[in-house]
This record gives sequence, structure tokens and C-alpha cells, in this order.
Amino acid sequence: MNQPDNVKIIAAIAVSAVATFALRALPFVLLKYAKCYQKLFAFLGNVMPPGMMMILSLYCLAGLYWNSWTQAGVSFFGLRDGGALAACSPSSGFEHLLRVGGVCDRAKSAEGLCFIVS
Amino acid sequence: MREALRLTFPIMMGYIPLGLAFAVIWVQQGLPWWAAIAASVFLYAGSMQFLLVGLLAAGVDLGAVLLATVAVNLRHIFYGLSFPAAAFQGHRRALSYAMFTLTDEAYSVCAQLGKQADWRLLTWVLLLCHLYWIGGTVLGVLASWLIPPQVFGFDFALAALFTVLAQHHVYYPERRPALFLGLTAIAAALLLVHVGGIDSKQTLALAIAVLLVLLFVTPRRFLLAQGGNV
Repeated sequence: MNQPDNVKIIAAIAVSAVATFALRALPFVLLKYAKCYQKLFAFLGNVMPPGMMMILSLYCLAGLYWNSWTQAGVSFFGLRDGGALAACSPSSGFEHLLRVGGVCDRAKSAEGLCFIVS
Repeated sequence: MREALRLTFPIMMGYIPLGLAFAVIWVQQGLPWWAAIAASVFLYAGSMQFLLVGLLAAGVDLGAVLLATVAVNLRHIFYGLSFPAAAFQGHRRALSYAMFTLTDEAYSVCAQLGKQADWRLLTWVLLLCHLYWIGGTVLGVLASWLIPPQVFGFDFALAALFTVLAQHHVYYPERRPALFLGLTAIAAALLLVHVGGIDSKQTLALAIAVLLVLLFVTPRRFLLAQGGNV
């Protein structure tokens, strides 16, 4: 794999940081404008997170190494019970095996919000 | 400040391990350690930072990074609408900092406090959350130096994280249609890349575009069948 150079890394962080800040600041700066599109934002805010998480999950799964049986095995068992982050076992029907509760709490607080706000 | 510490304690329990995990994955991917810290200081958006590791590794262009950021962080737009901004009357610098650090978790605490909140307390809450996240990242950088470079293949951690986050949505029946559209979108994108011969760097951008089209084409009564209140 060819590694991106430092300029590219900094540029990517900068682009992402500016876009994130813009999204967070928009409602403060353009309160009236944001209000009249509130329904659209609320709609997208409701449906985008599940859709995006599904995309990201499968995007990363597809990016793992599946091109030989050994590598597929490593990827599969890594996904199943490896990792200190969180592990899910497709074989036993997606049971929670959260080693670090933080991931789950984080997701919950974010999700609770989507309901409160909308 | 003591009050802010008490309020943000649960966030600390989540942010430090997550920041740590982020830095380990980042350094394992061969990206420079200082950039991990820079991302936590200036970008400060959990899932986007994790995603950035994957995007940089895949060598996507900046346009795709921008699109992914907007798609992942769009939810932040309406946090500002109900943030107790009135408490910051006359403290513009503190308010700017609040705009910059309004993450999911920080927002949930600030929104709880409501209108009677003091701007100092709000600022402390936001600052502490930011510091937990940076602290977790620094710990992760240190931890990653202890892991010998021969150990590799941490990629699955990223996939596992997003899978768990997606799995969480499955428990809400009203979100399943959107999940299904996401599934369709990524399937279509992967198909276009592997069969249609489109550059694989465009996979994520394609999937997001397909998802947006699907979301607006699908009648809303299917998307928000139960519990939908938009």
C-alpha cells in the first residue's frame, strides 16, 4: 500500500475540520435560514445516520482482506472476537460483546439526541 | 469546574478509550502520530476521524473526504438550533469555541442543562470533553509505540466499530428502512466498482450519492413508518 504524504494528510484533516466546523456553526450564524429548512435537516438527521452507518460498516468490511482463505480467516476471526473496541459474532446472530462500554454508550447518547431534537 | 467534571464523567469513560483506539488504529495504518493528535485537536469528530484513517489508506481525493465529512456530520446542523446560545451573551470567543466543540456527547450534556445554564459551566463542559478526547489520543499514540511493528491487521477494528454502530440502529424498527437503503446504496456502489470498472477510490462517494437519491425518491411514509415525527 502506498502511504499518503504529509501534505495530503494535513490537507485531508484540514478539509474535514473546516467542513465539520461549518456544519456545527451554520445554525448559529444563519438561525433564520436554518429554521426554514429545519424540516429537511430533521428528515436527513433521522435517516442519514442509519443509512451512513450501514454504508460505512460494509465499506470497511469490503476493504478487509478476503482474497485468500487464510486472509479471510484472519479478517473473520478478527471481526468476530478480536479487537478491544467491540466485536460482533455473525455466527451467533450479532450478539453484543462490548469490551469497551464506551462505544455503546456513545452510540446511545447520539441516538437519543436524534429523537429529542426532532 | 467541579460541577463540569461531575457532568462530563460519563463522557470521559467513553472518550478516553475511544480516543485511544483511534490513535492506535491511526498509527497502525502507518500514518504519522502527530497527525492523529492534530486530528483530535482540530477536527474533533469521532466517527469522521475513524473514517479518515480508512479514506487516507485508500488514497481517496479531497473531494471524497469533503463529501464523506458532510454526510457523516450532517446531524450536527441541528444541534446548534437547540443549544442554549443565549447563555453566551457578550462572550463571543466562548461561543465560537462552543460552535467548534459541539459534539454529540457534549451537546447532550449542554442541552440537558438548558436555558438556566451559566456560560462558564457550559464552556468547562465543552473544554473538558475536548481534553478527554485529546488525552485519549495521546495515550493511544504512546500505546501504539509499545506494539511491535510486526503486528498488523488492525483494520478489522474499524469495520467492527462501524458494524456495532450500524447494529445499534437495527433495534429501532423505524430506522430499518433507512438501513436497508444504506445497504442497497453500498451494494450498488460495490457492484459499479467491481463489475462496472469504476475507480475503487470512488466507492464511498458513489454510495453516499446513491443513498441520497434513494432517500429522496422513496416516499416518506415508508421511511418513517412508525415513530417518525418529521
